[in-house]
Amino acid sequence: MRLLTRAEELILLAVLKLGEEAYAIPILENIEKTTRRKWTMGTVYIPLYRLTENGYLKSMLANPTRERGGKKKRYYRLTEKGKQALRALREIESDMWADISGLALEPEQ
Amino acid sequence: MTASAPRPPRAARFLLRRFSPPHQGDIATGDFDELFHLQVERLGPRRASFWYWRQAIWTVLLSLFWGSVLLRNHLKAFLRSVRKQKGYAFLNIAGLSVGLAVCIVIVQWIRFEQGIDRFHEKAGRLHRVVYSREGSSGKGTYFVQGAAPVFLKDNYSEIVDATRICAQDRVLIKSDERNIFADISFVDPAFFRMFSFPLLEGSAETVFASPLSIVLSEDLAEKFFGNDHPINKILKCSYWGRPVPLKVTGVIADPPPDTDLRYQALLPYRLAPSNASNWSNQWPIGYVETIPDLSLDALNARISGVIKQNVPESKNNLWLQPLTESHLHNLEGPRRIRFIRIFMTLGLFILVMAGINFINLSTARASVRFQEIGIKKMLGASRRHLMGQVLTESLAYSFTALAAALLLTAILLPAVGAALGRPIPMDLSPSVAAVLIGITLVTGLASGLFPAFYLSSLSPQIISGRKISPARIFETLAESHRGRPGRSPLMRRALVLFQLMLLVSFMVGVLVIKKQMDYIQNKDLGLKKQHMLVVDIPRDTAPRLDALKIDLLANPAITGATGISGPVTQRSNFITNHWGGLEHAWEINVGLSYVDYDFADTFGLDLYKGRFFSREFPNDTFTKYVANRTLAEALGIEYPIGVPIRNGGSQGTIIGVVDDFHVESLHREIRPHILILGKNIHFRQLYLRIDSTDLPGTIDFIKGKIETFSPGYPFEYRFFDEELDRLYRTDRLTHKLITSLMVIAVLLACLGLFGLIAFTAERRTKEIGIRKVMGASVYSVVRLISREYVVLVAAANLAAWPAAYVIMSRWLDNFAYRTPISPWIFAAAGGLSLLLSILTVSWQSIRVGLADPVASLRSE
Repeated sequence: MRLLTRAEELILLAVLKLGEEAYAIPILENIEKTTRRKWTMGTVYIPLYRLTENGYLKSMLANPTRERGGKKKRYYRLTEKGKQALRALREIESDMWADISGLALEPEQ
Repeated sequence: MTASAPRPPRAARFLLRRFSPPHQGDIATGDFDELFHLQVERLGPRRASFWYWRQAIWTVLLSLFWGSVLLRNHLKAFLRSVRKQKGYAFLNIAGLSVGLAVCIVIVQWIRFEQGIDRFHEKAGRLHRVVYSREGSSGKGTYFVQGAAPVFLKDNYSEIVDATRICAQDRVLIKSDERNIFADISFVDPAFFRMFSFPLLEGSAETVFASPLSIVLSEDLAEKFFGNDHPINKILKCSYWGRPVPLKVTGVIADPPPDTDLRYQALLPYRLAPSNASNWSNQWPIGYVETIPDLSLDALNARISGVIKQNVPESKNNLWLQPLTESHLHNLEGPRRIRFIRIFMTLGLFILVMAGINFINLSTARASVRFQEIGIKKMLGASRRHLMGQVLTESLAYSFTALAAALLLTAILLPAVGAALGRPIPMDLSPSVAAVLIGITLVTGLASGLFPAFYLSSLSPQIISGRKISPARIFETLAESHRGRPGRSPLMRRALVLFQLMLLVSFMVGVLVIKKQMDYIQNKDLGLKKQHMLVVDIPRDTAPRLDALKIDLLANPAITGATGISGPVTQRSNFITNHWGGLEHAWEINVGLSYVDYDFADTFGLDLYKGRFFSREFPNDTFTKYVANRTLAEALGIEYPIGVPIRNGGSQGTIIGVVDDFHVESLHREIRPHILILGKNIHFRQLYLRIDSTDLPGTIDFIKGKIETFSPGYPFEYRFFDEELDRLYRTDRLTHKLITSLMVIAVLLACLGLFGLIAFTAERRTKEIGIRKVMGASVYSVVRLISREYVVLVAAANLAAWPAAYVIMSRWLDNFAYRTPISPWIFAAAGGLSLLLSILTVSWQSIRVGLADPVASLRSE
């Protein structure tokens, strides 16, 4: 299985954390909060679309509201494949961080 | 939530929705709406709107950017395919551009005809005064009682101005140096106020201040005075039988090509003959200016009885026709609007034929494009993408063709203008340009649509994720192209069949028109039309006409001479219901001509009963009538000789009946006609029967004789058969234009067949190779390929004949005297179409038949 990109990883994690509330806007806000950066809608939409196409996410339409001009929301949920991908990524990352001591990352004096 | 909660700007929302990627669509719109509300809470409504706009604009810009990248890619593919297949591209563009050029010419023509007399500043408020006869179907005529326009102006507050126009052709006007025939019009001063013909010299208020004034057109002023200042010069006009001095008080610009009002010299209406202003005669035409925003129907309802009010026995209803309608919805002669509609339809057919060629040529080439399509599919191009490419390509073709068509139009338009008798300017104003671009777009899309579906459907069924070798893709593509031989060629064959049907219809049409024109040319009119010369009689010679005739007849080349009150082909008439001393329940419309003693001899009329005018009977003048047979029958009296007929205020007795003769066009039945013996002073034209052996000598002789009678008279002559021919101007024009369209149809149909055969021949190269290896002869291969097309042409003929028969019968119905649509016309159309298709097809099939089979078989 191919490795996820960082954006894909962030998005999958956000979807996982948001649970029932995972649609584009909370996902965007969640990522902005964790990364402390501005993200545009496009940078969220495209990975979301690709992840769904490739079977990491499944989506469903529901819950139109007044603020949305009567448009439905597209909710996302991780598939088994998505969870598997995140697990694999976590393993790799912990392996990568395993041999690095805390001191090595401290800013030099 | 409150109802007044701020909402995202609508325009921005529309853009966002329109330009979002298709897989996002409404969801993205919803997301942005929700984000907008968050922004409102965070930043306030104004900055939220600003933010929303920024999102929308970026979306649009990005979408356009990627779109243009794709477009560039498509265009590059287009240029490559043009470069790779120059011959094919040429055929494609040539065919389309011819079709488009025909359409552009027709658009320009319609545009021009629609624009006639619209340039007047007051065009919307100007109306022509016309009348129609009670009970007769719709159509009216535009010659009105001279008193009507002024009466309207004086009695109806809606009508603010009025002018009468009384036109007289070919009146001799003399200056000190020159004698010129000019068409003069008597008009009211309102003429200069109502119409926007600029006065170059003089002012509208004062040009007609003195009763003896004349306003010249620019052209006529230059003919008389060259570069000299024409104002206050004196011209002598001999309209009233003696020369009357008129002072030039103004110069008016020449009438532009886009007006129906023709003039060379304008004179005050006071100088018009007195009966041009009363209620009893109908020969001027009248125009009125109304107040703006007028309900014309309401006014027409009120004025319809005006003539009856003044002439109690009249059955004519007066009405106003808007000036802007009077050209296309003309009241006299065949309606132009119909003529235009016919050519619009024909132009559309030509365009359809061109579009069909495009479809055929593009789909026929599909096999060449397997590799391109295969690779694109393999790289993940969607069907949408491929269709986009094919459509872009066909649009690129049609716009290239548009450029070529515009060049073609620049060449064709002057020729068409010459045929129509008016120069048509090339009009590329925004609205016309929009129409042309619209036509091109529709043509490009419509003819690209089928190839787009077809080419993109050649699918190796690539399922995403499954791996297929490139070789397999080509194989399946080729299979799907070849594997359904029934379907696609059927479509192509149907299209070519349709083309051939149109072609055959065009051919039948042209042949029928040609036959009818020949019939008109050769029909026995009951009077002699060959070797007849027409000259105008100078006013001052008219009283001495007998002496002139004796002098002319002294020349053995001149075998007959007779004077007449006006051109034979111009019918003046009266309506009577009183003859034989009784008033009848029905009316007869009787044409009349004032003729000379020698009329019957010169024109070769056959006497049926009674006698013709003779000098032996001194009282023949004005009171004795010679009727044609149609009139004699219409009277319903067995022996018409001696029967009196009332003609307005006067009355005459029938002394003879002549066999019918045609002076009107063959479009209509012969109508009742009488000949009245006139006096020399009434005669305006002299008809001379001449021997054609030494034509220039005879004409010189006539010229010399007339000059001895009227020195300085500008001698002009014409032939009677030309005069008759002018009655069929529209028909000749139809003939000419349809023949040119047929030539184009022939070209396009050949191109269509060529495209079809190229496809088949290519598809069957291997089959033919094998056949040849097995010993087939060139002839049998040619026959094998051509057979299909012979069947196609035969089917097209069978299908087109009934339709063409019905349409052409309807056209022939316009003529009261017509030639039958004989079977040989269909045989000829069939034979011609067959010959053309065999020629087109054999060129390809012989090439294939002669080709070395080894070459085609080796390439496997």
